[in-house]
Amino acid sequence: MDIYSDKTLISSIKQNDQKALELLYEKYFYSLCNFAFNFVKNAEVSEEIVSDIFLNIWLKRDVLDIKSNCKSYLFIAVKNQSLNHLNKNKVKFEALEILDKTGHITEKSAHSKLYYGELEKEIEQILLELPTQRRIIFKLNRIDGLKYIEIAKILSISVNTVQKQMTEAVKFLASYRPQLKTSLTNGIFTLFYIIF
Amino acid sequence: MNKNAFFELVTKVLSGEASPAEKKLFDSYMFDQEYRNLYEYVKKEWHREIRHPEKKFEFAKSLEKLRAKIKKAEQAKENTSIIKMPVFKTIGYVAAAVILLLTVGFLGKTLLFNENASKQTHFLSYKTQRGERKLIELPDGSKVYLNAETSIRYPSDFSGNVRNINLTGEAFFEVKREDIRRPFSVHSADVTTTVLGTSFNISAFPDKDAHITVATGKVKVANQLDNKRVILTKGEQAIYDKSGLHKTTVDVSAYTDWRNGILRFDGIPLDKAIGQMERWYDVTIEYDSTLLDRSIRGIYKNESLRQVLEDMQFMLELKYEFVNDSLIVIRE
Repeated sequence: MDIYSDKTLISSIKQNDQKALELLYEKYFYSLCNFAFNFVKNAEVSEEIVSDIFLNIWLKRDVLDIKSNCKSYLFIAVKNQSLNHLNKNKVKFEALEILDKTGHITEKSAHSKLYYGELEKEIEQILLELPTQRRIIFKLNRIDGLKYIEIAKILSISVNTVQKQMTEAVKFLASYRPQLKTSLTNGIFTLFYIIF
Repeated sequence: MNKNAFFELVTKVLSGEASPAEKKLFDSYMFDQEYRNLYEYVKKEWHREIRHPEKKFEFAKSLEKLRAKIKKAEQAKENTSIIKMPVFKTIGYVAAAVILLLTVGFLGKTLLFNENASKQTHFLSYKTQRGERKLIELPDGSKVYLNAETSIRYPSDFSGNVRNINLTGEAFFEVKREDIRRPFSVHSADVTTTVLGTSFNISAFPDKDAHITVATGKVKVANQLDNKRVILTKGEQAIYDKSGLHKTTVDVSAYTDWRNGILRFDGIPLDKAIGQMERWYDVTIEYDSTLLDRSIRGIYKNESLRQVLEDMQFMLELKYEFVNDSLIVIRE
């Protein structure tokens, strides 16, 4: 499906090729909808936001000037539209407020790990235990393949924050390592203790 | 090496962010069996297939919707062949009428050479500039007050059994009731407003929510995307936004005062007020997004822009600055 690069698609769109727009739409539909969903928490609204962005791209194709790469452009547009939507509906996106706090493994996740024991958990389940902000960042990198600098730009945060959140997420994944199941609260530190 | 630094390194390597130097450092750690085991575990977790919970979203359906939206928007675009005439703003009505007549001739001629054109219908278009407001009389005697930056398209005569108008922007309609009861329909954004004889205001600027406010009589508003419709009577308003069509009750004058030269902010968010001011005074106003949560109240009749800004400065404790005649910056 990805035989066309974003660049090719964009230049075809500029030449009035609606099929190219649809291919681009297909390419990023799920990623963008999922990203929007983080903010608006409603599947229908998410789809609406994403399709409006593509409608806009089509209508403004003559003057379209995508300076950064196309992918970042789309994610930024989705974020802005999602926040606009929340703003319009007087909802505050709480995750943005905890942006620069570096969280630790919470009681709740520690508990659920005890509970699940040695069962291999679905990775999606594991990710759900991450704080919203960290999960968004992790998915943007791991699933959508965005670079730290792109994520930083999309979320208007520093590259350093992205780096920190990614490290925390990876640590969290590591905390599921079977040897660890006995001592969770001390987390990784304990792991090293056991090893040495 | 502490655990944090090691995980930072692992994370960078896995996410493809490690510099050559960091990769080298990382490689040196891989000689150590314990570090390697830890890395292997994390790597396995990292590469586990993660799928977006895609079931929530339906691509095929959404694509159909997008296609419909595009089709609609393009038709609307075709329907508003824009005539720019800022020069004639001062010369006034006579000149505008002449232009309109010329346009009829031009469009008529174009249509003759276009085999796809339907019959002999001529369409008239008019677009007001920023800072301009205009009264237009339609072929059936109905009156339309156009607010700034608004375009309208209508047939030169309503010969069929419907009266169809296309509108982008804001206008107040006083629709003449006819004996033969031909419905009068205004198409704007995704909504169609249908009446028999009444007066109402439509505000439907691109990328903004649309508002249809009824001053007298009865109006039917339909969302063409999902066919949802609401009936409005005096004092009622339909709002069309991303989530669809809603009905509410409003103070009608708040939405119709503009045609008497009154700029009115009815406790609206600052960004909306600024949008209104930009169109009203033909200026560009830049502002910090931190100001977005403030709302503003005020009524100005034929007031200068500077006076309105002075008021805002006082009420909202802002600072404004004229960069030049047409660019103003507002700060906290």
